Parts: sequence; C-alpha cells; structure tokens
Amino acid sequence: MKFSSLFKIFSQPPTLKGKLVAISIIVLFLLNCFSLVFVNLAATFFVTRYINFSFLGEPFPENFYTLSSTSAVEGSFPTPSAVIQFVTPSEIIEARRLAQSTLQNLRVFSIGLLFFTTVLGGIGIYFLSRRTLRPLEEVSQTAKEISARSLERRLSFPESADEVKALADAFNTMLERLEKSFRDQERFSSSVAHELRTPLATMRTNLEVVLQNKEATAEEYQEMGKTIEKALSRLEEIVENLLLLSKGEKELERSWVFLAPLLEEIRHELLPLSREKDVRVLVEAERNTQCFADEALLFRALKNVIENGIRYNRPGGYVRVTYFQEEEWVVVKVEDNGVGIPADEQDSIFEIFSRGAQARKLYKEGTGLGLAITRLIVELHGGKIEVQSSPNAGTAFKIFLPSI
Amino acid sequence: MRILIIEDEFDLAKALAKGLKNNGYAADIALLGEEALQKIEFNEYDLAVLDLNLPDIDGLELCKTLRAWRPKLLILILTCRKRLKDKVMGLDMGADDYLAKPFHFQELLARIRALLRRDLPTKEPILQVGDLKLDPSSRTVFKGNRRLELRNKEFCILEYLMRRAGEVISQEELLEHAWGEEELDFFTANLRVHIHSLRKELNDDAQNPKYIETLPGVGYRLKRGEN
Repeated sequence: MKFSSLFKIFSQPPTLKGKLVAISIIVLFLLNCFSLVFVNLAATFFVTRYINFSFLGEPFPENFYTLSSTSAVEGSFPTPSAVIQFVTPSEIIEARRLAQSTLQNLRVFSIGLLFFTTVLGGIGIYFLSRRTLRPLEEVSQTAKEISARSLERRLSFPESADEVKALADAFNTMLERLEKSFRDQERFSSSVAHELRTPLATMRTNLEVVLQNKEATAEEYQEMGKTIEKALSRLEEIVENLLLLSKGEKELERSWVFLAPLLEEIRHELLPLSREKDVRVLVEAERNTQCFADEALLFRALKNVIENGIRYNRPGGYVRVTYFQEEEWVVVKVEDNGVGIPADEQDSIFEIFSRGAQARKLYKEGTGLGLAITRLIVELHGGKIEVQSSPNAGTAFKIFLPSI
Repeated sequence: MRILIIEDEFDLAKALAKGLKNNGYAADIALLGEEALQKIEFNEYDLAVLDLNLPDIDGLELCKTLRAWRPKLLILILTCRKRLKDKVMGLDMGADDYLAKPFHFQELLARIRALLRRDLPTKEPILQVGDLKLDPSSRTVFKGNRRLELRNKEFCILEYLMRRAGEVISQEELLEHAWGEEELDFFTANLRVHIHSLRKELNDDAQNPKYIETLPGVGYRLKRGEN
C-alpha cells in the first residue's frame, strides 16, 4: 500500500515547482559535498603534516633545509633521528589518537552540516520557488475558471513586471481576441436565427390560421400556398447565401476572365429588373481588361452591386459601370444616381444582415447579405471594395481586384 | 376586443389579422412603428401584438412609449429575439407577455385570452353574467343550458358587454372595440342591426329588456343578471 502510493507520487509528471526544488537541492547537496570533502581532505593533510613535523621532525615547509642552512648555528640543528629520541612512542601514539579523533569529529560534523544545510536550503528553496511561482498558479487557476460564458474576465498582476507578467499580458491579449470572435460569432448566429425564424413564423401562422378555420375556402388555401411559397423562396435564398459566405480561399477556381463579356452577361440577367424599375445599366466596355479570378464568384460579386444600384434608384435613373487598370489593380467602378446611403449607415453596409431603414422600405424582400457576399468574394481574391455615397445624389462603389 | 398587430413582415401580419378575426377579435395591422403610434392615437385598442424588429423604431422604445401613452393597453411582444436578456428587457419595459417566433397560433390565442382576463374582477376563464355563459376559447355562448348560435360580430359585441357588465357603453366605444378599421364603413346602423339580432337570439325585448338595455343618446348596458 505505502509503496504503491509512493510509486504513484513519482509516477505523476513532476511539477515545475517540484523540478526546481529537486534540482536546487541536488546542486546544493553536491556543492556542499565537494566543499566538505575538500575541507576534510585539507584538514587531514595538514594535521598529519603537523604531527609528523612536531614529533618526528619531518620537514614541514618544503624549504626547511634551505632556510636552516643559512642559519648561524649550522650543524647544531637536530637531525630528524635526533628528534625522535626526545619523543616517547606513547606521546606520538597519543598525539595521533587525538588527531584521529579530531578529524573524525570534523567528518561527523561535516556530514551533519551537509544534511543540515541541505534540508534548510531545501526548505528555503521550496518557499522561495512557491513564492515565485504563485502568479503562475493564479494564471492557470484563472484560465481554468474562464469559459465561453466568462470571457470578459482578465488576469491582473500589477505588482510584478517579470516573465509571469508578460505571460499574463499575452494571455489577456489572446482572451481579448477570443472574446471578440465569440461575440462576432454570437451576433452572426443570432442574426441568422432571426432571419430564418421570420419566414418560418410566417409559414406556420399562415398554415395554422387556415387549418384552424373549418370553413376556409379554396381561395384562402390558394392564398396560403402562395404566401408559403414566397416564404420558402426567401428561406432558400438565405440558406444559399449563407453557404456562399462560408466559402474559403482554397475553394476559388481561378482562371483568366475578360470583364467585358462578364459584365454584359450580368446586364442581360438584370434586364427584366432594370426595365421594371426603369433604370438604365450602362457598361463602358473596354475589350482587353481581364483578371485572374473565380468567374462564378466574380459574377456574383459584381451582380450584387449592380443590382443594388438598380433597386435603390428612381425611375429614369442609371447605373454606370466602368473599369480600368490602375497601378497593380483592375478597378471596377459602379456608379448610380439613386437614393444614396445615409452617412451613418455607410460603415455598416458590408456587414451581414445589416439593412438600412430606407433599404427596407425600397426593397422589403432583401436579405441584407448581398454586399457582405461581395466584400467577402473581393477579399478572397485579395482585393478591396470602397464606397462613396451622398444621400439623394447617388452611390459609387469601387472594386479593386489584383491584376495578376 | 380590438387588437393592433405591429409587425413589419406583411405576410405574417396579414395571417395574424385573419386568424384573429376568425376568432372573433377585431384586428388592425401596422407595418411600421410610426403607423402604430398613429393608429393608437386615433383608435381604442385593448391589446397590441408587438414585433421588436421594426424598420423605423426600436421595438423596446415603442413598447415604452405605448405603455406611457396608454396605461391600460395590454402589450404582447411577439418576436424572433429569444434570448433571456431580451425577454427580461421587454417585460421590464412594460410589456405584459412575451412570445418568441416561431410560435403556435393556438398558443398566441390562449395568451391573448389570458391577458384579456386580467381586467376582469374574476379570473375565471369563462365569462358569466346572470344565466349567460361565454367561453372565449371555444367561442360558445350558453343561455342557461341552451347554446346560442351567434355570428362573429354578435359574439364580439356580447363579449365586450359581458366584460363590462353593468357599465354604460357608448356606441362609439362599442364600435371601437368590436370593429377593425377596414370594417367601419357601414357605421352606426350596422351596430343597431347587430344589437337587434343579438337581442333576438337572447329572446330579449327592447322595450322591457332582461339583458341589453338601450339608454337613448348614451349607449348600451348589459344588466348584471339577477335571474
């Protein structure tokens, strides 16, 4: 039991604190070992030498003889053998025993000191590392507590300016980005839900009202069918556009596309609408301009802009499309003399499901996805789109596509 | 009972109005917030069904305005916004009930009935005055044990009179609450015709009325039944 629990402790991956403490203790222990071994060896060496010198006349300093040879009493200095004669063996034995026990005491003391310093140092290191690493624990604790619902929480370490603070800062920046993308996602899905629920509610209410009425006439059923058909087409359109919006850059099927025939095709497709609204679409053709793009998507992007020009216009108005090369861009300019976009709405026209009050009035069935799709397609191609508009005078879109 | 539908989705508003009319309510449609404010200024509504996503005015603001203008108007929010926050906000802005789209029409009707019960002295789902019993949910009226066959408008008039039993109701008020805007062409004569046929159905005598009293130049009153 005990063994297995011990085993369990060691089988767990070591914590940073554990590692720090272990390494420090090992280093401390080894350093202590070396210094104490050195002290002991030195002590032994010196004690032995001292005894041998004092009692046996062994030369202690290396240059003893050279020193003494210069002395005035040369020849009178006792030779080592003479010295021995003054010292009794018992005295030597006594001295050696004393030296031995002193050295032994020193060894015991050293070992004691070694363990004492190691333990004391270990405890010190433990507390020190705990203190240093506490902010890290706080970071991980906060990280654990933060979920998708509490992304607005942040880490705060005002007192320190070290690596932990840098980590916390990086962490906070990441949280900020995460929070923003979460909020965007949330807004997007709530808008999608709203846009999908409206036609669904229309369909259900129409159905239930007619079904509840036992005396409903064939005419009422007819009308209900038409309304439901309308709501269904709207649903289909929204779903199709949403799928388009989820396209990524990898799915582009690029080829060289001539703009002249593409715009002519768009004009042709929008002919019924432009006739109905009495708005002329003028394309100033320039034969040679082409760009490397996904033809179907480019068609879609340009058509959305031109269609808006027709819809948000007045009878007798026009939409003029010109295109030209400008530095590294192919620029497509779509101008109209329609109703224009109020200044406060110009920033949000490219956002998903954003529809101005005027736009809703003029074209109730719009999904609010057209310009969002256009911008996405243009950006997927590495281009950009700009808008300039003055209310009641008209709107000009400039679409920049990379020419290569 | 007259209901204003404030909803920008025309097909939905139309279906709602039709369904409500089928169920014996007078219903008008406002597609914009401004339009709703105008209609509420000129007409007397008992209840408003309000969509929060209107093109011109924010629904919650409108709710607040309506509440300030017409303290007795019942407001039912009918919207796509499903989040808890929106529901709490809506109710706190003065709405009486909140229903999220898509909804079942039956549920909407039941909620409207429940809301209309609030003004009554009793919260019984079946209105009872003397020996007259009116059940708004099944749209049936009983006089004692006999079931009366009433047409839509007669039912509507009787329901209003029963809700305000004992009070004098002017012709204008009755017209306001039982007729929608589009139906108002025939005017007062039409009301007399309906009261007449209602009396006939109730076996009531205009000279010596047991149920509906005529107060000349003032209006009508449903007698609080002693019988």
